[in-house]
Amino acid sequence: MTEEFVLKNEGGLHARPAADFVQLCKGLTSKIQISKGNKTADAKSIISILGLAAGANTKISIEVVGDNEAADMNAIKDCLNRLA
Amino acid sequence: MNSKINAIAVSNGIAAGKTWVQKDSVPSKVRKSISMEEVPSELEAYKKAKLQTILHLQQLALKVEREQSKQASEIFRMHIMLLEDESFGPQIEKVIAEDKVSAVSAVESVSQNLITMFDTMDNDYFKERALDIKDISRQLKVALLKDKGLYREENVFPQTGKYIIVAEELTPAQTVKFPIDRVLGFVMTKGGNTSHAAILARTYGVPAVIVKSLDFTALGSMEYMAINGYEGWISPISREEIKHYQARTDFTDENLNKELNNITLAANIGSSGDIELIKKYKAEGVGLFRTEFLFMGESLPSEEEQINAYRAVIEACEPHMTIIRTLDIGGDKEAPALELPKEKNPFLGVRALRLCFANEGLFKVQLRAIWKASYYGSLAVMFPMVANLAELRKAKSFLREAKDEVIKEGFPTGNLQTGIMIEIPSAVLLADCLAKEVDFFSIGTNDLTQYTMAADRENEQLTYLNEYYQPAVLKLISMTVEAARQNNIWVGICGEAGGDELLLPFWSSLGVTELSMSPGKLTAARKTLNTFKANEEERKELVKRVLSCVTTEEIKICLVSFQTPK
Repeated sequence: MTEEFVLKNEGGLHARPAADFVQLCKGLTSKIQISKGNKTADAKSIISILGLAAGANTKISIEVVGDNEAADMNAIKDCLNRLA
Repeated sequence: MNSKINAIAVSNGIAAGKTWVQKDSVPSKVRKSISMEEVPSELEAYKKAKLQTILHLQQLALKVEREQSKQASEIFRMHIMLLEDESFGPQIEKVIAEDKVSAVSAVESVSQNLITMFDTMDNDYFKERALDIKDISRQLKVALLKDKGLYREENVFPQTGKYIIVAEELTPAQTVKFPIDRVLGFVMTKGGNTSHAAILARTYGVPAVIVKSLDFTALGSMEYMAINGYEGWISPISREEIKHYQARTDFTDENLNKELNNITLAANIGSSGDIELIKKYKAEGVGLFRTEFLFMGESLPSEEEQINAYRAVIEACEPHMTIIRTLDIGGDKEAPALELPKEKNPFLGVRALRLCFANEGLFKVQLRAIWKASYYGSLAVMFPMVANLAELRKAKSFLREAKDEVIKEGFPTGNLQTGIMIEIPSAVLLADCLAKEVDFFSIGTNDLTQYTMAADRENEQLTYLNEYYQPAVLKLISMTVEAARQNNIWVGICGEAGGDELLLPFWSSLGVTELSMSPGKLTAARKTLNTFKANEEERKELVKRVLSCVTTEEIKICLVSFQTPK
C-alpha cells in the first residue's frame, strides 16, 4: 500500500528526526520505501533517508509492503506526526 | 584602534585573550594498495577500529547526556546509526576486500563520496550532515592509525588557562571535548548558525563567530584576539590590549551602585531547590516565582504543601519581596495531574489565567495558600496572561473571595501587592487603564515577543523574528513603562531580556524599577550597570536613539555604542 504525507515538522527528515524515524522502521517487518519526487530511499537506512533531503513541507510518498502493512503504515504515520 | 575583520555572529558575547588553534592532524601518508593476503588483516583492523569508534561515541553520548541534556546527546547516537548503515560501515569492508586497499584508504574514499553527496545539497539542515560523516571518518582513521602506532596526538588543548579556540570547523565530537569553562570563545572559518559548535556555544553562553573573509592560516597566526559575538567581528590585538576588553568579562562580585543606577535586581526562581541561589547571588528578592513545578507531579499539591513552599521562599528573601506568579500551565508546559486536552494551538489556547478560570477550585486553593503565606513576609502576587480589564477584575474578585475565606477561618494575613504580567500586546495597549487597578506591572518579554511578532517561540526557523531586540517589542515595553509612570505604579521586567547585558543601560535609562533574571546572571548585571555612568541627559539621548532605530541591527549597534569603553 502507498500513501502520501506532508512533513510538517521543522527541518523535515533531518538528523535526529531521521534517526528516530529509521529506528522505528527497523523494528517493523514490512519492506518500506520513501519517495520524494523521482528519488526513492530505503526507510531502514539512515543515509538513504538523509539522501532524500526531505525538508519541512516536503510531500513524500510512503510505500509499505508486507503481512502487517496496514498496522505498519499507521505506526509510520504516527511517528512522522510526532517528529519534532 | 585595531582593524576589525567582519564575521558572522553565531553566539552572543565579547571575549579577548590568547588563541589556541585546532589543527586537524590526521596524516594520510598510509600505503593505499594491499595484496590479496593482507585483506583479512586489514578487515580485522577495520572491525576493531569500528568497535572502538562506537564505544567512543557511546561515551560521548553519556558525557553530553550527563552535562547537558538527552536531546543534545542524540547526535552521537545518530552517528552510531550512520556508521552501521549499509552504505557506510559495510561499504568500507566491501571496498577493502574488492578494491584491495588499506582500511584507511577505504574509510577515506567511502566517506568522501558521502561527504560530497551531503555537501551538494542546498538545504542547510542536510548540508550539515557532511560534518557528521567527517566526524565519524576522522575517528575511524585515528583508531586505525593509533593501532598501527602511526598516530600521535600533537594538538592537545592545554591543561591550564583560558583560550579563544580557532578552528576551520569543529565536529560534534571535537566540540564537546573542550572543558567549556576554559573556553573564552570560538572562531571558525566554516559552518553556520546551525552548526553544532554554534549551538553548543549558545547553550553555554560563550561568544562565537564565523570568519569567512580570511583563510585559516592567517587566522591561526594571530596570537591574541578580541571577538565580538553581538556585532560579528574579530580583531587581532596585542597581549597588553587584553585588559581593555576583559573589563567586562571577568567577574568579581560587587554591589550595585544605586547612586548610578537605582534599580532593583531580583531573581527568577522555579523550584524550592533554587532558594539557596537567592543568597548566593545576592538577589534583592524574587521577581518571579514560577509556581508550576508544584503542579507538574502525579497529583496536585494541597493548600498546606503550597503554603510551605511559598513560606520557604518568602523567608529566604526577607527583607526583600517575593513575587508569586499564579499558575502558568498550558502552552508548552504540561501538568499530567490536570489531564488537559491537547489543543491545536496551545500558545493561543486555554493557558495560565484562562486555565485557572476554567478550574476555579484549583485557582482558589492557590490564592488561599498565597494569602496564608503572606503572613510570613513581604509578598506580592501577579497574574499571567491578562488580556483585558475584565480578566483582571475577575482575577481580583477571586483574590478577594479567597482573602475573605481565609480571614473568616481565623487565619492571619499580611499585606499583598497585586500586579499583572504584561505579555500580550492588548495589555500594553490597555496599560493605562490596567495600571489604575494594580500595584505593579511585570513585563514578560519572552511571551510579549512571541505574541507581538506572531512567531512561535519554539520554532527555530523563526528565531530571526523571535528576539526581544525587535523595534516593535522595545516600543511596546517603553509604552508599558510610560503608562506605569503616569499612574505612579512600579514596573519590572522578568523575561530573558531583563538580564540581557546589552539592554541593561537601556532599562535603567527607561526608568524600569526592577529587573528579575536567572540568579546566575545577577553578578554580571551588577558589573555592567556599575560601568554605566551616564547622566540624565545622556540617558534621555540613549532612550531616544534606541527607540528611533527601525531594525534589530540598528538597535544592537546603538546599544553597543553606549557600552564599549571609549
